[in-house]
Amino acid sequence: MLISLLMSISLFSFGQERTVSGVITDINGDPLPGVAVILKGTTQGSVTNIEGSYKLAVTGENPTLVYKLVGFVDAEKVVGSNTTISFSMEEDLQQLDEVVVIGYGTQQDKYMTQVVDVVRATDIESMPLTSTQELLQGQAAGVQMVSTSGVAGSSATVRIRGAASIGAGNQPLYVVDGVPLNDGTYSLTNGAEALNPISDINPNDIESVSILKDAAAAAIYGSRGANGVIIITTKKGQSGKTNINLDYYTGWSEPTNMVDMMNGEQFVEMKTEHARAQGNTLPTYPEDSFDWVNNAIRTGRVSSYNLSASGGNEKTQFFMGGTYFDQSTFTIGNEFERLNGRLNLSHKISDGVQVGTNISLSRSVNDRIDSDNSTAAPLTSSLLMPPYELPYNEDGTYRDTGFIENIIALEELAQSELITNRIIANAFLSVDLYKGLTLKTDFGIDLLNTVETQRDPEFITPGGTGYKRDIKDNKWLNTTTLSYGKTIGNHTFEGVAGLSYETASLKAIAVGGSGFVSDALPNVGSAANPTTTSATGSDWALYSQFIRGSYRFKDKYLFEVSARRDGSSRFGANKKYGFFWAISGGWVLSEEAFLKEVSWLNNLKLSASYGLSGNDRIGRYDYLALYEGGPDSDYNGTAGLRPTTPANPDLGWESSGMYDLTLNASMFNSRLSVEASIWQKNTTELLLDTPLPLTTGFATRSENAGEMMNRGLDLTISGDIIRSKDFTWTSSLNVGFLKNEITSLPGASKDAEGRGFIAGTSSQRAVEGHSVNEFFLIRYKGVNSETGDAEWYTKDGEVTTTPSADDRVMVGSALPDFTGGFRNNLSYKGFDLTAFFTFSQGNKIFHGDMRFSENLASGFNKSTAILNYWKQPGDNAYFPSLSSPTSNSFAQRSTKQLSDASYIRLRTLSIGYSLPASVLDKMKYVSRARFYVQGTNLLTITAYEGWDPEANGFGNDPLAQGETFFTPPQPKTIQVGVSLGL
Amino acid sequence: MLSLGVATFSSCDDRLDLLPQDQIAADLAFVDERSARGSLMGAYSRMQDLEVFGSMPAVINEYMSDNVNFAGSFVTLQDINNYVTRADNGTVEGIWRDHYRVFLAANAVIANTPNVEDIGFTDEEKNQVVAEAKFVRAITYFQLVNLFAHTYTFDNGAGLGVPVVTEPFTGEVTLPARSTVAEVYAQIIKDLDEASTYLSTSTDPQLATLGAADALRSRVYLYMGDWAKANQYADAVIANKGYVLATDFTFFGDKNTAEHIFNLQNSATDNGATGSGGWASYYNAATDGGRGDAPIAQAFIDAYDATDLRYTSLIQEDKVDAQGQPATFTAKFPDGVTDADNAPLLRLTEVHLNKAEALAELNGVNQASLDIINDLRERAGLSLLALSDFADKAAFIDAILEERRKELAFEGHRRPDLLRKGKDLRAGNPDAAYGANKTILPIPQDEMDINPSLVQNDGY
Repeated sequence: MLISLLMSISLFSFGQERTVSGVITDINGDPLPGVAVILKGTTQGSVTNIEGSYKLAVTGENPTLVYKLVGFVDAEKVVGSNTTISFSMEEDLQQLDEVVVIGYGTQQDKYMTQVVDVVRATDIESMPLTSTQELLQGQAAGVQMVSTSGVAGSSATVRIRGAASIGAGNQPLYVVDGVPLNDGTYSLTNGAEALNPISDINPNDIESVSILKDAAAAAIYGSRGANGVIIITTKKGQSGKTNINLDYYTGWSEPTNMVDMMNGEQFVEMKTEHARAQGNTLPTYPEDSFDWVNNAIRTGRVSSYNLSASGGNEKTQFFMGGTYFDQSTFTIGNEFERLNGRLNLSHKISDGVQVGTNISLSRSVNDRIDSDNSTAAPLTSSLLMPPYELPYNEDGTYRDTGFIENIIALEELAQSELITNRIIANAFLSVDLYKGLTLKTDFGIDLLNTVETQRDPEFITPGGTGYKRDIKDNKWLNTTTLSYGKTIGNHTFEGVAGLSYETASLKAIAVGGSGFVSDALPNVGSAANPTTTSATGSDWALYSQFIRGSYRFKDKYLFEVSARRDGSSRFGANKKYGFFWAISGGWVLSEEAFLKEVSWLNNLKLSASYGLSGNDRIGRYDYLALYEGGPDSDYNGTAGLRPTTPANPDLGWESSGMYDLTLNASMFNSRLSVEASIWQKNTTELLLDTPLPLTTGFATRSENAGEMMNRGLDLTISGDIIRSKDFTWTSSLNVGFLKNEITSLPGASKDAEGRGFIAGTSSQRAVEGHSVNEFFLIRYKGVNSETGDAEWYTKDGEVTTTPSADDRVMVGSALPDFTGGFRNNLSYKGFDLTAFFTFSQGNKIFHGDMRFSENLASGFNKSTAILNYWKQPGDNAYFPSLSSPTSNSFAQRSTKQLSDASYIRLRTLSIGYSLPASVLDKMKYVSRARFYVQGTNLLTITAYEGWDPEANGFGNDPLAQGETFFTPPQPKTIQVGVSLGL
Repeated sequence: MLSLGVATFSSCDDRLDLLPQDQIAADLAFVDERSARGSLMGAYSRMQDLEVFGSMPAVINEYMSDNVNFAGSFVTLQDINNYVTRADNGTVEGIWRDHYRVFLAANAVIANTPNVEDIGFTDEEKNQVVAEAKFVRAITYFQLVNLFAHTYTFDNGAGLGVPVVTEPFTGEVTLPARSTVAEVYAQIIKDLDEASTYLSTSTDPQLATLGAADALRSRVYLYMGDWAKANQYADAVIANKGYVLATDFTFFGDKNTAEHIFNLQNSATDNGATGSGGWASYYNAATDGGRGDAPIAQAFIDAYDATDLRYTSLIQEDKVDAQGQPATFTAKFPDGVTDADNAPLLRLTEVHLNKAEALAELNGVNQASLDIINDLRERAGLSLLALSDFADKAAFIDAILEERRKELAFEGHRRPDLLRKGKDLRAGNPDAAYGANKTILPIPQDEMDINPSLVQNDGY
């Protein structure tokens, strides 16, 4: 910089100097600040100001000016005799030269051989998000996101290019500003899946999200790259005017779908008729009736307030922001509140020396509810509760409803709360050592603290119980890299090498007690009997060396290698270190002479890669044979030890080798672009809890056993359908096709056909030669219209009324054939409209709740569907004859509870209006204003028979996908909001 | 800061050797007396699990017979109750799994304790530790074989029992076949015989003692129909003046009395409270901290004399079961809040009943048996019976069994007591008939799938 400054001074002595000025606008005529105006062939330049105007002294013979702005097509203008040059720059909608954040660096999209999908702030700014993970849904081909449930803060299953693992977790690695996040389980499950590990990240802070899909991109994350990596980069300040943004929205929600349950009269009549038909003693029921379901749901509310400021000068830039988010879901008792603060700061100490920090603080308070398999879950209980039960006694006090808890009382009296405090921060120093050579060291922390409190009152448990658990998962890491970049003629080299040490320490303290003299004493300290006093801890560490080098010839031929060696504390002495690598190449065909003249083709690139990455997501000490002490192992107050884990000293990494072939094309003035990838991922040495004969005293042992293959096609097509001054319409479709197959499962159990399998749940298993989530059930036929018996098929396809476990067969997979998103953005003058659809095809869901809601033998409330029971020959009934023995076995586990969960959903529909410049000009403080209405999940097209095709009750469990058990459905919401720039 | 960054990486490799903080490596579990005794305690603690002696098998024995109704929500138990169990029943698998966990812990103690080198740990002490582990193994096998196989008396032990595993798992997977019922019984008797040489002669019911081994041998021989030996071991217990018949029915719950011979201890921090439930879970209404799943059957209530203290002093009336119906529950296991009720696995009343039954089988209607029955009836506040009240030996034995039912109700005796006498579990239900396929549980399907040596029970 110093040198260039000297050079520019010396240049002043040449030629005749004159001044050129002008105003640069976008195609709408709005001024463009920040456009770099450079005198071609020199380093002289200027930048347009807030009005879009610039002034620059030019010298030399036949001077030419180059205009550059990120997101716009570079323009060149010959000065000639002009003293003013004003024009409008064309937006580069494909943004081919965009810089993409990748592992340990950035690259220009045009020259990348890695497959990385990017979601940018600009893609989502018209869609207010309630959580960061929504960013991943339907936005990128091959990235599947399935929400667990409609409970606040619940996690989602995120999979990049399929499930790579059976036993070691399929979640991608999340990295925020260089800090890989803690993503353990920090809360009790309350009958359903644990909470979302990235719910503390403020969606308003996000500048871009890079999704690393192929091995070329992910292998640099070594032993944690096999499931893909999601790199979140937060917003940074820019020199110039300070921008202040204020965003507010508020919304209302209700469940997308609910099941219709019987009222008291219907219930009593059907139960009585059934008892009579079966020859049983007639039960006695009260004549009351209460609509529990409609008292368990309500109109949910959500509000979000966000304020941020960014700006700075040449030396120092800042971004600071804060968000308050407040949500009450449509289920009683479920509230979520989040407070986020952020400060991102960078400072140039001198030329070539920079320091910076990105600090995020968050606190969330989650007033939790149980869900799914819990009698204290509001939705579950409201559906199971016999409708003749009343919530209140005659004197207005709460009634004890017995085993199915009085959820109205529970909501009022019991406490279940999770508070999460989290600091994610990093600080770095970078020094330019020599031309192109930069040394950077970065310290990062993720300090996570959860405090969970549960308190059951006297009403629920005599004497009351209390429980509190405090967990701290403190991570720190250092990453030091040396990076280099140089262009010599047609040859461009770039490279980075680094060391990283990362360690985390988990500490948990839990106390519990029973016997409170009053419900007014909330803390465990007031309990007469301590039942839990626990303090536990564990550590892990990862020490890594990594390197990446890329070479480019004539901007046409691209080549890259990367490698990483990881040492991990999770593995046995024999397998402490793993080596991972990737190699990739690309060919920019559009730069070749034979395509240069094809005017409609703007860019065409073919790239291919192969690489190996790993998965280390198993327990921290699974390789050791272990005995545990503690309150479960003691006997009668005498300390005890008992075996918990069998040894496997050879336990090592799971490796995924991935091939990828990708084509990028953009054409017709970049109005149509296509990205297509075919890929295959072969995972070997699958980390697996291999079942042991239970006669060993252990159920499973961690082993590297088995192989799995995923292959697929990712396709993204985007187009500017209409691009005019007043009206624009852009559309983008992405689809990820996926095929998953387990190729080998040595050591697993064998089914009747001799295929190895691992039973995931009672309804599904991972089977050799089939997918990892194959439903294995008895086939339900229907109600015989002549006999009134419910009928199933035997294994051989014969009809039976008494099927057995041997009649189970494979009946479909929980994994979809393809998923994707379809997005349309329209704008007309100040109005904008976004319609965003997501879809999933070919997956099945087992809705286990129907085993209860259609089980007439139990005392729980029933679905009204079974009122349609068989009465006489010829009836095409849903439910068998009440006198049939199958009226008691109708709800047994079978394909009766399985249905196709393919769907298309209008995820987002938003309509906004931005004030025109003419109005804004008259307002002193407001530079930008947009008002909008947004609906989510307004429309769903599906043949699914359960509640909601987008539910996944077991969450991330790789062996238990696509099952629900009274899993709360997704909300349907309406939001209104305003976004102001000051 | 840069130098700090570089300093970070020195000696990183050492930092990868991290050991667990809440568990210890298996080779540290038998290094001295303290750890060996700790491992024995671990074996006892495995017995506390719900699916072992934490009540589930006992509740199933009651469900499958006629003492309680099924009013619950677990489909797996509903199926067992209705004799429509399938081999993939999750509860059945849990029972199987957790019994073998006990065997693993006990086998490790038996195999490793003799090799512990600790000067302060004498051979005598080691022998007693091993003997207690053998008792643990024996009583657990006895429960398991009676759940998964027909009774010994069904075919004189010739039928398939359960796999007998007597060595701890050390990494080599074996696929044991099912031993016959007779072989399982032989192993049980062998363990008890060997243990009795070294077991404590104390009458502390909290641990395995000679009295406990004798009481269990009395029951084992009773199940085998070896009346003389059943009587012999009953006498061995009765002769011990440390055991005294309770005078009332206040000894349940968390108490240890001279009535108790082996009373598995549970506390508020044990597996019942922290796991999936204990003795109080099924036998108490939701209002009392239970689930309300196993109310007393009306026919059984009717079978009690109105003044029978075994009923009137041991019930919770005017409760509601899990299906919302009016119900009466037993009061034997009152702690629904912390599930800390002890498991009364062996107690003196049963030993007296064993003796009464054995003598009746040997001698027909006889005074000694009648005296035992009358002692128990007197304690229950009932009128005494006379020899002349019984038409024949069969009637006499039935009367003894009826007293046994009322004394030991809900403690898990009813199903095996009916079956070993060749009686139906419930009247008028062919699926509940003596010897019917689903009166015994299936070998878990998962276990069948992984171990080809196993043969499934008929009907599954």
